[in-house]
Amino acid sequence: MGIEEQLGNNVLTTTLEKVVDWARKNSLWPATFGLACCAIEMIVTAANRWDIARFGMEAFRASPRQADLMIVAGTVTKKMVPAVVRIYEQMTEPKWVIAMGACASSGGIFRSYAVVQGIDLYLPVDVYVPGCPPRPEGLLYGILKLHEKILKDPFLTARYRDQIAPARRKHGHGH
Amino acid sequence: MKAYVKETLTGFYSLLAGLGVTIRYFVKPIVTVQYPREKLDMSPRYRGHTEFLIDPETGSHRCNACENCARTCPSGVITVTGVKVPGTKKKRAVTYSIDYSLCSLCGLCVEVCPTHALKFSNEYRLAGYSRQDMIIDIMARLKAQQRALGLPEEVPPAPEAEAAAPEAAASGEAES
Repeated sequence: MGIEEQLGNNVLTTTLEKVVDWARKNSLWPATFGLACCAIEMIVTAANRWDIARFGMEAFRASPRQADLMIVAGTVTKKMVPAVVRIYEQMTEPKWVIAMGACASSGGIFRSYAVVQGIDLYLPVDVYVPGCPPRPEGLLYGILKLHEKILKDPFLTARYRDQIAPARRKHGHGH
Repeated sequence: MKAYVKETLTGFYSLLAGLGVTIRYFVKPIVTVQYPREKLDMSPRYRGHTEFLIDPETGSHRCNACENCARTCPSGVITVTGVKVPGTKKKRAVTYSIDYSLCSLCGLCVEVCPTHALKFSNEYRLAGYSRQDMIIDIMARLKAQQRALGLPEEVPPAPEAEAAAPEAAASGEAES
């Protein structure tokens, strides 16, 4: 969680971790980027009708260094993957990924050599939001699911996911 | 000096104009939908995943497992299996599931269905933690709807010895 690195493994910080997770879930800052039509629904989610600011997410950060959450909104082409993976790697830990829409989840209708058949081949996706495109409510529901996940499944699991399930990232970074 | 005063006045005016917008929106009614606590009704044209239309005459679905939908689907989303109803020449669907993570909601399955058994649901809360969560069992959904409406649940016809087609058994594995 960060603080253990300073203190060593001598001090138990379980309760503190709960407080920190609570704070993290209430201030998830998404990275500003959209890839295709799902991005329009993501923009609408940030606008006043659905108002993503109610969840502490109003600040879509233009710099990945300041973002916690990557909403992969739209079709990821093979050509775009290096940029997406670089943005993800530039984001500071802890970080989460939402695959929004059919194309980001599985490639959708684009069964093609040019389109990534699911961004989960390259990034550890936490929440999948299906739909073509999903409603803003659908994205908000996915964000609420992510909040639940952050509370009950702290960041440590995501960091050691490679050791827990190495098959998930067997395709590696394909650039 | 003249330019300085002009700049000050212009700046002051633009401040008031900007605040005017803020104040106008402050007194207007709130448009935000407080989503988890209040939900909008989906419009009739909204396309969620497909689901079975409940036939008012029989209180059940009308699918005869012709697999036209599975064949016409551009993404190969649909898995449907059926068994032959004993005593007739008709088939009847027993399982129907879609992999919603691939579905582009084109609606070809709804259009092509010869018995008009499918319609779009208004379901939108479908996020999940894995791709397996997005495989939707439409037959189970129909049974839940029938329970909610108090309709009798349909007992699937027992497969006859020759009626259990080999492709039905093969595609039955794929949707588990």
